[in-house]
Amino acid sequence: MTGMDRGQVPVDHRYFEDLLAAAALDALSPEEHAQLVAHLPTCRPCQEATGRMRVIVESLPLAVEEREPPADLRERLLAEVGGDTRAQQWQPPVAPPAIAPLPQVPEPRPVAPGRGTAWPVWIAAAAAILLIGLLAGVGIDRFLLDGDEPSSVREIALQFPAGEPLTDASLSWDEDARLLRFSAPDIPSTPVGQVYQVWLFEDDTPLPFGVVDAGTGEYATVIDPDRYHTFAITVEPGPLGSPQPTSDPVIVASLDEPGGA
Amino acid sequence: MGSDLAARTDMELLQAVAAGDSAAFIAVYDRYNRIAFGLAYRILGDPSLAEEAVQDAFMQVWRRAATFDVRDGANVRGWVLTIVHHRAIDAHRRSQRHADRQVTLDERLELRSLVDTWEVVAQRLDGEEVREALDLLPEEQRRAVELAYFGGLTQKEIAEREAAPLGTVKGRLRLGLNKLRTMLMTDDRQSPSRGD
Repeated sequence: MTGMDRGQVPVDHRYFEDLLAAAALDALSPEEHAQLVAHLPTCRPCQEATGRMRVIVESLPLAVEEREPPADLRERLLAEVGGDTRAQQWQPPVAPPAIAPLPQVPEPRPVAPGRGTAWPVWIAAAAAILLIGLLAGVGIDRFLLDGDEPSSVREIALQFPAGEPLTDASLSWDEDARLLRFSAPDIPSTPVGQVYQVWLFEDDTPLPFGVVDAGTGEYATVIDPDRYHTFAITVEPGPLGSPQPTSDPVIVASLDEPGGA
Repeated sequence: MGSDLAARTDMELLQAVAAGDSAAFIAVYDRYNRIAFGLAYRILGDPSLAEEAVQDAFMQVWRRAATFDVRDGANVRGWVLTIVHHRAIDAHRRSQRHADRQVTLDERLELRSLVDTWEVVAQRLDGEEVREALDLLPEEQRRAVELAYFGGLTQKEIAEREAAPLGTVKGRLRLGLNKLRTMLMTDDRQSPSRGD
């Protein structure tokens, strides 16, 4: 049971077991965390151990001395939520699934996609948007941070086929850390019991790559960039998502670039 | 808090929050603001920063309530305090110039992936029980757990601070949490008579 992508040093299950206590305490490096997040959907024992560790860690705040916060904090919060406009914000689609799940999926990945769905259209669209950007001289590299030294972090354009664009959403690739990072702090909540699940396409196959953090709208994973050409997010049943997509993507991005990532 | 709201369970309140009920949201705040502020203050050591972290955290509760796992046994208090911890550690790391490590907070929800069988028991723990259990840990294990959870240090940073091999620190964290679990999750805590 390995947990890293091709082209990197393979690590076994014991490696991830050793990370679980520190992960529950939020004491991992970003790289270790990303590796564990990618491993968890593939490993039931680690999921169970994570649950055990988490319950204990969630009891630790009880050890602190309770304190009275400033009285006006309550009023400020009430004022903020009283003016909340979340109902007007972009909403994830709740349409019937466009891709019927397979009756049996023995392994969580990889799983071949269904046929006759909108997925190939969005993959093609993602590639087309990238090509248009390159022809217009606004390829991925234009997003390199200004400065004397080129940054290893590139921003990647996102598409929102299901609704209004999320202006705060971003996808970045850190070449040095091999880290793909998605961020959408104001992404709307999914319907109860559902999650935003990340997919990376290897050839025509969408591979499940975990779910977006519902608390922060953040996601990160360590990948081999030569292996995947498209990033996508769908709304799937929680908490772990699906072994293959059951709905059309709400966010899509092409990971291809001239010369490879 | 109105008497009707005060009588509701955490789960009922959070479902109402998810539906946009601001009164239910304030009821959740009233229920957990003191421990939330205590936690943020313990991490940050500054009342203004703690207040900011708590405010940010409760706004996250408001925005993300619908994402909470509603399966039986899910721990609303734990979820709320995880978000508070997240925000406070975030602020602490920024103040310590460790902003590049904020990504480590992003996967916290991933770690909520399975409901543990002791989830309901954990909801009934109180502060005295947890403090007693922490005090009973071997000193190096307690220190490692506290440096990670309240100090916001990674296991590698703990190893450096403690001048101990990384593998030793990993072991201390794992053993510490497992011993806490053994001490806190004893059979008598499964009794349903221990009410919320």
